[in-house]
Amino acid sequence: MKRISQRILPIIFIGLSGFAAQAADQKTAAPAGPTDPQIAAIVVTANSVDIDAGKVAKAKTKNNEVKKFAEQMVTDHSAVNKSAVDLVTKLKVTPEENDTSRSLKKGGDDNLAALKPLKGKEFDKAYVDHEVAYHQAVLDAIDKTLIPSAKNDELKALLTKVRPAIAAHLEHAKHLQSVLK
Amino acid sequence: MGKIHSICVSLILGIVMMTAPARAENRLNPVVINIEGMQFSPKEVSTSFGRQIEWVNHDLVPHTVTSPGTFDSKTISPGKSWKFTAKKKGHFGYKCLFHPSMSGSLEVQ
Repeated sequence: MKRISQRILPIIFIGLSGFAAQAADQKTAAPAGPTDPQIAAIVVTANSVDIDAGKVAKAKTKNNEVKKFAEQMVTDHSAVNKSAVDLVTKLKVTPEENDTSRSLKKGGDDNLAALKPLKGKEFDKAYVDHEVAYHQAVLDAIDKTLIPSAKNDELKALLTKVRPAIAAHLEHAKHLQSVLK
Repeated sequence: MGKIHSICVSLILGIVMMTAPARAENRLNPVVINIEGMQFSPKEVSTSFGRQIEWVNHDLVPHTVTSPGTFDSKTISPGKSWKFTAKKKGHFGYKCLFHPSMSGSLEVQ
């Protein structure tokens, strides 16, 4: 279990903090941050990754609380993605793949591969541990990178509106984590 | 006798006219509780018996307004609302079934 966390979690953090680190490295040069099309791709990928994990957990877990949480992640992140897609369509912004979105996708795929052989309590714990780390990383990215970098007011407003849902998911995941210990 | 009769009629008319706007207000102007930022706002609401209450979901995700055994909105989709008129007086705690951190209370007097 610890090996899985050690392998997967750094990918999430590297992915979501990529632009922040890049910005810090280039403090002396021009400030760097994701563009609006890149932010759009990051938002859609981040949601899709958690929807995929939720679908796997919903099908695999035997724990009712974990199942309810997984179902909620699928519902909520699908709803957020719908709003994001509606907005970028309205704004005529084409999401642009970038290192962060690609890293997030890889992190999501690696997480699914790591969860695949696990069963029962071991599966539940690995899934929930990952959800805690994932939502914390997303929250940090929203606060430190995505909201400050967004140029379009409506995109910035969408990110601001998403934030409380991510914070609530994090608290819910932390509660589950404490119950599963 | 005629004078007493007209006083009674005036009193009755007066009462009807005084209560009619209140009844119309109850029917037409629900108390609005916003669901925004994963919170019910206001969190605690006190209202008069018969007054309609409307929960409006401004969030991007679905919610419910559920007081076990008393009322349940089922899913309120983003951008939608749910109206409810309490059938009895009392204090009702409620929550969102989807998001355990969300709760509120309703006092019907």
